[in-house]
Amino acid sequence: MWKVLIKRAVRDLGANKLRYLALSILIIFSIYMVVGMMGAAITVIEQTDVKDEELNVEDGQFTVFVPLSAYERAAITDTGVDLEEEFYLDFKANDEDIIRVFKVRENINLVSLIDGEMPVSDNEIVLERRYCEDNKINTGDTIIIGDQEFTVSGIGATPDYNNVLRKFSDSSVESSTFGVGFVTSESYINMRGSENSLASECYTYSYVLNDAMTDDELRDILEDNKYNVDDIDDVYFREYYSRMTSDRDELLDGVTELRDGASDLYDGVVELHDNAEPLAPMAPDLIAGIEELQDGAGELSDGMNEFYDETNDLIDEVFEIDNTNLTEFIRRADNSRIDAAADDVQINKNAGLAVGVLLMILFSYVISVFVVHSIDKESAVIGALYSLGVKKRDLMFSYIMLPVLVAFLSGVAGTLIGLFTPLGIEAEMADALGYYSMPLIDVIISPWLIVYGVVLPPVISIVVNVLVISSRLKRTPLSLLRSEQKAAKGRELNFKKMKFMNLFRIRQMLREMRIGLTVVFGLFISLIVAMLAVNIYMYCVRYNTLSVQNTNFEYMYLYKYPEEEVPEGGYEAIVQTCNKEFMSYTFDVELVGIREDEPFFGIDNMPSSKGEAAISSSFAYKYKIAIGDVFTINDKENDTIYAFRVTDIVDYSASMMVYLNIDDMRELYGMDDEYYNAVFSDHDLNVETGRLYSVLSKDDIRRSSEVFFNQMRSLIYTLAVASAVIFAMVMYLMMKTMVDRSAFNISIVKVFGYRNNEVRKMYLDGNFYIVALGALLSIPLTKLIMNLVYPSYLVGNVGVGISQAFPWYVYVGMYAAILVLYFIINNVLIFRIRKVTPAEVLKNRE
Amino acid sequence: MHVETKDLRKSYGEGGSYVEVLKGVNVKIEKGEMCVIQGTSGSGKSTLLNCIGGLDEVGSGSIKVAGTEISNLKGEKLSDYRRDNLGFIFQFYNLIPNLTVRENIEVCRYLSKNPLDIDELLTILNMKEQEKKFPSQLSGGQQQRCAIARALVKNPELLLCDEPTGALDSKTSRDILILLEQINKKYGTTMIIVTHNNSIKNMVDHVIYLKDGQISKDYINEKKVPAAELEDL
Repeated sequence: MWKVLIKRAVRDLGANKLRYLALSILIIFSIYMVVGMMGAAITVIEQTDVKDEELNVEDGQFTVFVPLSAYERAAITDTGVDLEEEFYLDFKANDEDIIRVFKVRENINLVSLIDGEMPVSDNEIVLERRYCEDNKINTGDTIIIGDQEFTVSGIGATPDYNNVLRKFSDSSVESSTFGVGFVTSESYINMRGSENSLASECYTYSYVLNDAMTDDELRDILEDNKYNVDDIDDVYFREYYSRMTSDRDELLDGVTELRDGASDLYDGVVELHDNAEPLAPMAPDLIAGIEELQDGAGELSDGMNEFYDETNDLIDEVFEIDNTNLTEFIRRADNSRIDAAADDVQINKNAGLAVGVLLMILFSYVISVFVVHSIDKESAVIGALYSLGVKKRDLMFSYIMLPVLVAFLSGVAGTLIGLFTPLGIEAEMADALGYYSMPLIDVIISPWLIVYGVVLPPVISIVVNVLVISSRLKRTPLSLLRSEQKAAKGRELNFKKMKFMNLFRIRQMLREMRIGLTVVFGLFISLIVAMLAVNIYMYCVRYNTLSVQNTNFEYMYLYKYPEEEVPEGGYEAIVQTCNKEFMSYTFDVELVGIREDEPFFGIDNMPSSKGEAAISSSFAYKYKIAIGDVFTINDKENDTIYAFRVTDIVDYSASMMVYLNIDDMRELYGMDDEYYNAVFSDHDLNVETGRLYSVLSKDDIRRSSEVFFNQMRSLIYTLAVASAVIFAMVMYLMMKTMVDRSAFNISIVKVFGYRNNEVRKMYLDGNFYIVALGALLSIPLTKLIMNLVYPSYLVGNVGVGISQAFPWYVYVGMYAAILVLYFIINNVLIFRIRKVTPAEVLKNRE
Repeated sequence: MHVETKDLRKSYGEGGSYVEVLKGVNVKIEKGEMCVIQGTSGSGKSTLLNCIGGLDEVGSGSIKVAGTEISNLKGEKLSDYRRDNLGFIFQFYNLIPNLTVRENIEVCRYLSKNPLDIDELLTILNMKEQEKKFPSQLSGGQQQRCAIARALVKNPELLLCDEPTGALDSKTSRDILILLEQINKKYGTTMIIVTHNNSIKNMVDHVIYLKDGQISKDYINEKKVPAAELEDL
């Protein structure tokens, strides 16, 4: 019998080929997208692990004030820990860009070449891939770095710059203007000597622990290392150091002078006594007086010695200069540059899994509506077959065979496209590869993805169809033979004042509730996709515009060695990098001490006491902090957690900042009254680069703020189109089914003399209420879901917070778009209504 | 005795809409008999057929088919009863529209352990030439022949026919009745035919009249006329 039933299913497929083709395309597209997306995620995640191993990625890195001495280095490496010098210098490249230059690594964080060769001569460099891609640089091209011309000998990637952030606190990668390069050791030394770097050399080491100790133990060792001032040649350091120590030296000199004066006085009195000795017999009183003076001078000298010692101790205590060599210590897990792509795509894997299941449920349900329609149409035949002893399971098999077959074949096709063609994993990986600096990776075809793509669609189809069809086939043979319908819903409605047409529409709507709910379900799913697209769009646009709009300074200078006087036109500040955890990520938060009269941040309610702080809007949105809330941030450098109560939220979106009164900040960190390490200004202050850690300009912020939108543009368009297609397709198929189901009734009312437009009003226009109401409920609901999911899971790894609220016109626009789509489809279906002729009545009555 | 009902009662609805359709019906039909149940609309004839066919639940009383009490069968057992014993023919054929004649018959062939040969049936029913056609390509009579073939292919002992000629013209009706007569003779199939048609009673062995849910006449037709000679069909 199954052979016959299979034939029947095949003919059913042939008779409804357009309908099944449309659904098949949707399933193929969905499975292809989902499997491709998950395949890309799995590939990136697994290959990141493989490459990390292959390239010997660091366990962590630390930066020191001066390079480790041979003794300090040996104290670490002798335990079995591997160290790699990763000193770097930032140079201008091709006038506008910045290239961070390293010497070629030997052991840790090795460069994986994508093209070309490692540098051999002094004028060769290997550049990181993303910078090359954005600037269309190929192997063999030349590039000016500093004032030296280099030939690009190769293009590569390193695991410690997977996310090519210039600073850890940067919110996005800006590969068009920043990259890293690797030169020979000799070339690096030459470049250091050229003094063309944009900032002083940074002494960073990476380490691999090899189980010899823990990160904390290594940190303890490093914290015990002190630098020797005399070892440092840097003129800016020496100037800074001497200024920092000048008061202390002055005081020390005065006390020494006092001590020496008292000592000289005593020596003089002793000499006086010795010289007056011959006069003793003549002037015994004089001698006694001199002796008394000598005792007094001796006591004064002893007292001064004691004062000198005490004062020295006091000076050491008051003028304590921290010469701990360690300035930064970052474990691999806290390093936002490492494994960032793998972290980023993790959500794709999870989201893909869920979205695939949701879409398959939707499409399976749509198919089940067709099947239910067929069952209703063929109920007398089914009743006859039951009468002859055919069992429910046989018919169940017959009816679900086709949907399952369509789902299975579409799943197979989608899986094949998603996994084995360039349109699948490779295309989906383009997003990750277009942002993160990945080495060459092999595509991984995970067996479970094949199972997911091939097995999931038919299984969901079986489950959904069995659930939906089962109750339809449970009816008695007699009920089926008589084609008994359930009492029409809405029959009891009797609004006396309601016009016939409106009442009819409501009843039709209630009769076709299953189809209506399917349309709403499809609307809901497509709105989730649409809302995601709008969320990404709004996020990018807001970040893009607000970052620039809310940045009122033109330059922010971060000093390594601040000048004695704040440069004219600048506003001094203190910046200390702290961090705060969000989900599994740790983000930098700048603790900024600012003057009350600073003009750039516009703090209305300046923190007036210790324990109070204003915060940037970016920080507030990221951590959902409001005025009056208490929050904590972690200063890992000083191993301290600070808690602050929020006095004000400042419109500043470019990065996460916490603002204190500069005096409170100085007090908090025990700094000198004049101390500062940052300057904000509205014009270029021409600070010597040797004094600086970095300079952040408004132009930098502008460029970096455009990165998100450029990166996300194609995804936004894809999601928007996919959303519209899903909704339009589901609505069209369902409304068409509605017309088909009502074909007999439509033909009857046509016999009565109703025109096509009137028929449309009666049978289709009721859907307007369903769509209008469905959209009214779905839009806020999907927005609510997106508000919960988006900041945490989709941009959880981005180090800025942006308001999730949309302006009212966005919601109105979405609502209008839904209604426009509805009206288009409604008008398309008028052709279907025209095709139903009065003769249909005769045909159906045999 | 092939079919026997005792004090069969069946009602629908409750309260104001309560209707007792069968009010203690007792019938006895012998094996191999052709029996007609006649009556006016609402007399309970189709309900009686449906109860015997296990399509409708019995209110009270008993139905025995080939010695088996079927009034208390439920679910799968009821399906098995229909599968093993019955063939059904309906007024509106109820063929599967996207299966050919042969395939429609094949669907039921698989239900029987001892099916009839399809080719032989098609030949008897004069449908050999139509075996590859779909129902929509057939006339009403041809569709009913196909439905008969589908019902017979299982080689049932009891054939229940609900208005088998109700949708057919006079000539086609006669052809169908001749066919049923031939089958009865060839296979010894017991047949119960529910009909409005007053002529059909003349070709059968046993005639039962129902009126208001009760048997008003039940007799053996001593003057059987061959179907081919029936008048006023």
